[in-house]
Formats: sequence, C-alpha cells, structure tokens
Amino acid sequence: MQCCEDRIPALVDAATGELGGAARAELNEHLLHCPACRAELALLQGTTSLLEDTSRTPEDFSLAGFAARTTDRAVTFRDRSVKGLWWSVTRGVRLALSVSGASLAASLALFVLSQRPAIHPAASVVTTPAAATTSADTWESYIPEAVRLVHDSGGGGSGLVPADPVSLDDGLHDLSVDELEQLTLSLSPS
Amino acid sequence: VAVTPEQDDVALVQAFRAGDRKAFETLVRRHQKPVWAIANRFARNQHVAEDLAQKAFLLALERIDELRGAFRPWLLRITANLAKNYLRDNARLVQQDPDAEPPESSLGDPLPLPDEAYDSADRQQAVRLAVAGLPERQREVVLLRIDGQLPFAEIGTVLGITENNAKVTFHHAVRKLREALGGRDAVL
Repeated sequence: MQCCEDRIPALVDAATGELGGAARAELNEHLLHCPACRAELALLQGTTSLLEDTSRTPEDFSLAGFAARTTDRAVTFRDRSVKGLWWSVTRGVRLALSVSGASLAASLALFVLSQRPAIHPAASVVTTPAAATTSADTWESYIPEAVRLVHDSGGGGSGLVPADPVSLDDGLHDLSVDELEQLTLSLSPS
Repeated sequence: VAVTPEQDDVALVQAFRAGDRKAFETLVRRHQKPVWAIANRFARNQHVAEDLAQKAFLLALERIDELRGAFRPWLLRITANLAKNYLRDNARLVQQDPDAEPPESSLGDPLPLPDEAYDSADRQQAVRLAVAGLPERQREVVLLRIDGQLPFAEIGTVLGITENNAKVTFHHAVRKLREALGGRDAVL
C-alpha cells in the first residue's frame, strides 16, 4: 500500500521530530484515516531511530582535548602558510632584482660599445705609403718593402721582424731571408 | 582579542588568522560534535575519525573566503565530502570493520539477521554498510540530518536544493536502507 506522496515531507518531519503545532495536528487528523501513511510513518521512525542509535556521536570524554589538538594542528598549518607566503614574496623580490641587475648590465655594455670608434680592418694592415695607395692589395705589392727590410737589416737578424706583423701579410714573414731573396729575384722582370 | 560566545564564526577564524589561538579553539568546541559524528560514521577507528574531523576544520580555515551563508552547514558539508573521499579510498576497509564481525551478505542483499541477533557491533556495521551503499546525494542528506543534526531547511540550502526536496531525498534514503537492512523486521 502506497502512502500519500504529498504527505511525505510532513511524515519525514514527524519522524525526525521537526513537525509541530498546526502541521502536526493536521497530519494526525490525516493519519486517523490513512493506514498507509501510518505504516510509512512507523517505518520512517524505526529507520531514523536506528540511524540515530548508530550515529557514533562522541561522548564528552572522546572529545577531551580534541579542540586543543585541532588548534595545535591549525597553528602549525597557519604558520607554515605564512612562511610559505613570505618565502614566495622574498623569492619574487630576489628574482625581480636579478632581472633588473642583468638588464642594467646589458644596457651599460651596449652603451659602452656604441661609444667606441668604428674599426676598419684595412687600416691596421696598411703600414707603408705604397701599400696604402695601392689599389691592388696583393702579396706581390709587399715584396719591395720586404726586400728593403732585408737590406736594412744587413741580410738577416732581428731587423727583419716588423713592428706590425700584419704588415707582412700572406705568410711572407714565415719565410727565411734567403727564401725571400730567392723569391724576389724570381719575380723580378729583369 | 577577547572571544565572546556570540562572536561570529567567521570572525573567530579571522581572529585566529591574526594570531588569536583561543578563537579557533572556541570555534572547534562550538562545532566539534556534529563534525566528529559525520567523520566517525565510516572511519574504522577513532584515530581516523579524529584525523578526518581535524582535516574538516583545517579545510574550513583554508577556504573561509569561499564561504557564502552560514558557517556550520558549510563546515558539515566539507566533512561529508571528506567522508565521501574516505569511503572511496577505503571501501575495502569500511566493509571489513575489525571491531565487528563481517556481514553475512553483500551490500545489495538484505541482511537476514533477526532483531535479537543485532548486537551493537553488528548493527553498527550493518547500518554503516547500508549508508555507505546509498547514492551520494541520499547519503549526504542522511549524514547531514542524522549525524550533523542539521534541519532540512539548512540541508537544502547547503546542497542547493529545496527543503521539500531534501525531505523527499531523505525518504528515498530510508527506503533504500530498509531494503539493504532486510526489510521491516530487521529495521524495527
């Protein structure tokens, strides 16, 4: 037998002790004439009572110290959170400072580089007027200068070593004096 | 900061955050019984129950900014959710309570035990299994109403349903429990 569906909320209230006053009187009136709802109420009360009996609501002795222990744990949790927040903030500041420092250093370096005069590679190579004015800047154009250096040095010795090694380019400074003379003679038109 | 009994729950949490230890202890004392009861419904022993109950308070502390409405129903819902997670992670342990004899039938079958055979531990275990086997929403309503002792109006608010809906859900839960516990004779 089905109870009246529209009475279910009131039956639940009655079974759980939430029904009172006029609503209770009205339900009682209905129950007088409705055996299905009476049976349903009995079952609801029985099951609710069983649930309440097995609800292991702690006795006071079970809860002794629970609030203090929970608070201890909460204090640890709170302090750890605060430390974590502080660590995050300081880490952020440190990171920001590092990035700013690096940017500043990079800007400074760029500024210094931009202030240096332009370097022309050819300027460091040219050591003789002849070479400076020669458009054909081949190794042959250095030969007269090499010969002059050989003669000035008395045929060998340290006078051969130029102040600027680049002035004797193309590996000529690796040749011995004799090899240079041979080379000069072989290249001479006469 | 002096704590008065009338002090608002959220104010207690704020006071604790500002360094007032006593404020949180007051808050815990105010709500510990229903929180503990919900946690204890499925926990296999008191240590686990206490751990779950403590976690509920810590979660409330952590998420206090998300609170909309009354504190207690919200706290109890947090506890019910923790209980749900515990059930999910420890289904096998919940069914094998070391303090009680294992049930003679599976969750879906009626328990054929007569009334006189229901000693306290058996009954506890049978009801625990039956409640654990309820659909989530029904279980939530039962936990909040029976263990949390919340009125249906507050249950409706915290679950986002109407008060009547909460009552009808409770009624469905009772029917399911009746089936799981072996019908009228076993329950009554």
